[in-house]
Amino acid sequence: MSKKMNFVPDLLPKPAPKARAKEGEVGRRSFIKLLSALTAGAIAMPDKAEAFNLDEFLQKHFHQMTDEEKQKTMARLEGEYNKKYSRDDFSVADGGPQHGVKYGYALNLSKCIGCRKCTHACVDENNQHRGSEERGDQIEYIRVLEMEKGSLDVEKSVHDYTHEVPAEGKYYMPVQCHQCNDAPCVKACPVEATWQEPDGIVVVDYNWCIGCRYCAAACPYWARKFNWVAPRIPDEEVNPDTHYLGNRPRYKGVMEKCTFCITRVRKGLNPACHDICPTGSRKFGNLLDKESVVRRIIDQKRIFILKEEVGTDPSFYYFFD
Amino acid sequence: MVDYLTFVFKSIRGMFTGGTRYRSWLAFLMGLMAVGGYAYYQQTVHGLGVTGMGDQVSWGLYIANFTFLVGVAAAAVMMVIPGYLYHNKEVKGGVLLGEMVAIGAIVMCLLFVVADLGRPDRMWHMIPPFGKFNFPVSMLAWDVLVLNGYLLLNLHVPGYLLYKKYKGEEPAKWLYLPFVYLSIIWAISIHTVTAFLYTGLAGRPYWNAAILAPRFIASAFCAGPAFIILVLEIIKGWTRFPMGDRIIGFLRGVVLIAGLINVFLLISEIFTEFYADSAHVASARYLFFGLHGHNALVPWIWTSITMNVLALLALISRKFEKRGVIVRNIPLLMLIVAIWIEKGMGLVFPGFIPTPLGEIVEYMPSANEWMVSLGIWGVGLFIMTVLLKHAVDIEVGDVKPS
Amino acid sequence: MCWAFKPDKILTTDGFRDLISTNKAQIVNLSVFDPFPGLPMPVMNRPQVTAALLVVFAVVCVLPASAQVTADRTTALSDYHGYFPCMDCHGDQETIATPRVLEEEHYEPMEWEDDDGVVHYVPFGEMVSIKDLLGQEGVDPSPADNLARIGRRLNIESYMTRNDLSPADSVWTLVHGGGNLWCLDCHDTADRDKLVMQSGELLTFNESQFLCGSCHGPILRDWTSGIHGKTTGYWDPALGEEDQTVRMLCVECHDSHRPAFRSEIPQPAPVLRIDGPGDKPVHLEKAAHIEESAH
Repeated sequence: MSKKMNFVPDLLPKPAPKARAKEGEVGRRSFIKLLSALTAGAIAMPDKAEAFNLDEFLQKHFHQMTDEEKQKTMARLEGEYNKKYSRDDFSVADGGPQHGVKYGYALNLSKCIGCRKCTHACVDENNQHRGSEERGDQIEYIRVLEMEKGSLDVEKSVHDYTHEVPAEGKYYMPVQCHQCNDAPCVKACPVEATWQEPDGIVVVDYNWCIGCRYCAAACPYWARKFNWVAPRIPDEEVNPDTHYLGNRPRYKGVMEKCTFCITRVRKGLNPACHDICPTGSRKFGNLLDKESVVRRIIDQKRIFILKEEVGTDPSFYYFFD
Repeated sequence: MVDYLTFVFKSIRGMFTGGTRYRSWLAFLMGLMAVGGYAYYQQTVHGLGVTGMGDQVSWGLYIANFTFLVGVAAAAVMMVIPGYLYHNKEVKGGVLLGEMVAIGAIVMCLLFVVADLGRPDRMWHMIPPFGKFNFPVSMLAWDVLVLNGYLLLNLHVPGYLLYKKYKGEEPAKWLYLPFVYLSIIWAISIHTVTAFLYTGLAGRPYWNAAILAPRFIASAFCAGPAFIILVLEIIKGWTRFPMGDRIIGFLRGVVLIAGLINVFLLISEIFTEFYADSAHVASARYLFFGLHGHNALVPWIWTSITMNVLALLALISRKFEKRGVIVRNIPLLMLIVAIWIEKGMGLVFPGFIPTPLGEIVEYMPSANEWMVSLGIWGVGLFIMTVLLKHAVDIEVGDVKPS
Repeated sequence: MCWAFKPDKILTTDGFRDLISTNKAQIVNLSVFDPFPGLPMPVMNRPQVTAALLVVFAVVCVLPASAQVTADRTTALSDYHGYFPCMDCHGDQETIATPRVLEEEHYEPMEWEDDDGVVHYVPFGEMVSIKDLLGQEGVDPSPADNLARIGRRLNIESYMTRNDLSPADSVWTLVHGGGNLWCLDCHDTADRDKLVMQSGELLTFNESQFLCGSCHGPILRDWTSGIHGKTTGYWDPALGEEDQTVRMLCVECHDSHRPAFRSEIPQPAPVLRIDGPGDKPVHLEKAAHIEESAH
């Protein structure tokens, strides 16, 4: 059996390292103190300060790099990540899309029990920020909505239930990136830092994003998450098997999102949320393959698209049976 | 060339000479800038986590201020149109001042956008050919373009006119008139594009309404000229600038009409939202009445509406017009505050509440965020002050070729 | 619904095999779960041998005592349908403090009279322990190996614990069928190592899906095409090794005696922020407000 993973995120705050005036700054200490008081203790020193890096500063857009430059960049990133997370096994891949493949996801709302295992498996697989001292919130790509039976109105949903699931009179609707074919986030980005790959996955170039968060405002599925602080992942929890456009560690101040686990699916594996689901509610496959399970579901079941009226043409379907 | 450099040198020297009151005002603004600079330093070190924003409400005070100030910047056109299209001589004489206000406002807009960026170090990604500029698809790309364009237009026209005035020469019409006419369209466009930034988002029903752009323009032509009137009152009272009596009266009329249209559009919006009572009313309900016990914005918006209505009634009655400088400008100040609240608390924040997944998370700017905003206001007011001083200097002949 | 389903024509196992042989992926998956299809079963577990033993029991012990009982399995089914001889002895452990029959007692056919004067008789003799195809005791229908193949980082253990995927515990509270099923509707009377279809055809424990499907037809159809049920590994099985793509059998997710998923405490809820050291995580309180406004 594989190593047992701890699914309980670091929710409880650790004592924040106090900002301490260095030697020689004594004269300004009172001023700093005053201002620190003004900022109401919202500020603490980051875990690992990100030093200025010229290569990183001048790094080109993923589409503008030649293959050689990509290899060089990825090698540099592997070195940086190995150093940052005290490892030697980081790999940053850039495996491209397969010809004739377009990913689709179908989720069976009759079966989902709302256990949130997908949410947490996703955090582990995709190296999300685990929650910091300042804010305590880990970045999660999947939000499981506890819905009222008899309504599809997300405004009646509850997100933070902690009681036993499934609860009487409720059903559960996990929402994550729908990998839209007419994606509002892609249209919104002023610098083309996010785009849809030929296999349908909407990706972000974390080294190109300027952090304006217009895409977050544009997304009807609330699928785009921002690194409000420098992301913190304990060394032993980091997943070293990464993809340039997917789960490689991110930077402070950039957007990130679900990529259907690009590092897994491009190798043929299912996304992590799919494999962890204890109920088999989640179905993944190639929309261009008539024999794929997703196509069968679209053919045989009654599917619906969340917020279809928004017209984003998602690759994510919900169904009942 | 030497002439021009002398002009620049003298202008700058003129900008920073003045009475104690003037210099203390500049010092005060520099204090604000220092506070803002410190807070912004904290923000760059620790990330935007020092703000009150989060994934639920991902835009806050910065973008609210940005939206408001785009309106102030656009308002200069309310002097350009009567001045240049209808040849109202008095108004034409004040156009320069309006344009100086516009420059300060645009600079603040740009600074607020930069302050809101998670990676300001990567701004060059927007500049072709090094970067990738997602034009014409992204509305934000449009916004960057029109704002910078408007800044250049407003730097060119008054800069050229003032230089010619300094030299005592007649300005060549072909060198500024085309830009003046262009700036009329451009001013409308900056606020329209900013409105489209919001209305283009189908996933945010509160913003995804056609009435938003007209409301933006109406409120901008209400708050903007009101702001300019305050500036003109100060210049009129404290300098020897030859200002016609009718400019301010004219602008008060503009403020009143735009304000009435704004209220009418607001009523249209409220009616549509609440009479149909569709599922999309949640944001408006949150704003005006609170939702599921969350009602942080309710006092703000009703304050705004009350101030708006009272100020407009005061302007309609015209009783205040003949009163002292403080009293007659109180309604204008109320309108500015009311519209500032309407743009921030009334427009930007509730668009995020509830989230597209129905989560209700309230937003409250952090102390650091307020400090950065104050700093940016400090920068903008500083720029406005010195530019207005410069315009006044040239106009009254304090700065001239030796 | 399903347990009341009495098809006119009962599909045999072969019939199901034909049905699914049109599905390429299914064949791959079947081979995963039936790795030794040709392996002979231990002699004692062969149904013929067991049946012969039962006949001997019947002739020597049972027939003289009660002429109504024969060794014929079908007769036994019809005779005992309607009351629960298994449960009478082993009982619902929650309601019967002490099982009436202790383990060491069930070596021989039993007869006793209950409080109402009804005579009960159990002809089965020794309860043969359940063995899997390899003759190992206590068949585990949820091979952990398969679950382990999901991937390096995924934790299914908590799910295993939650669902308590050992039928031995849940057998005493047979919830499945809402009282309309009893043990021998699925288990063979004579051969405890086998499941029995309505047609009388015997199935091994590794073929239980056909038994499940004999009532839950539409679900078997969906499972066959991959729509129902949990799969792990490769979205395109051709991209991985043959045994890396796994389709779980019915009983790997559902406890066959109590098929509904049991409720569980979910993984931690999303946290908005932590306001300061020592403070509790700030959650939304919308649920409470909704409840308040409902009253």
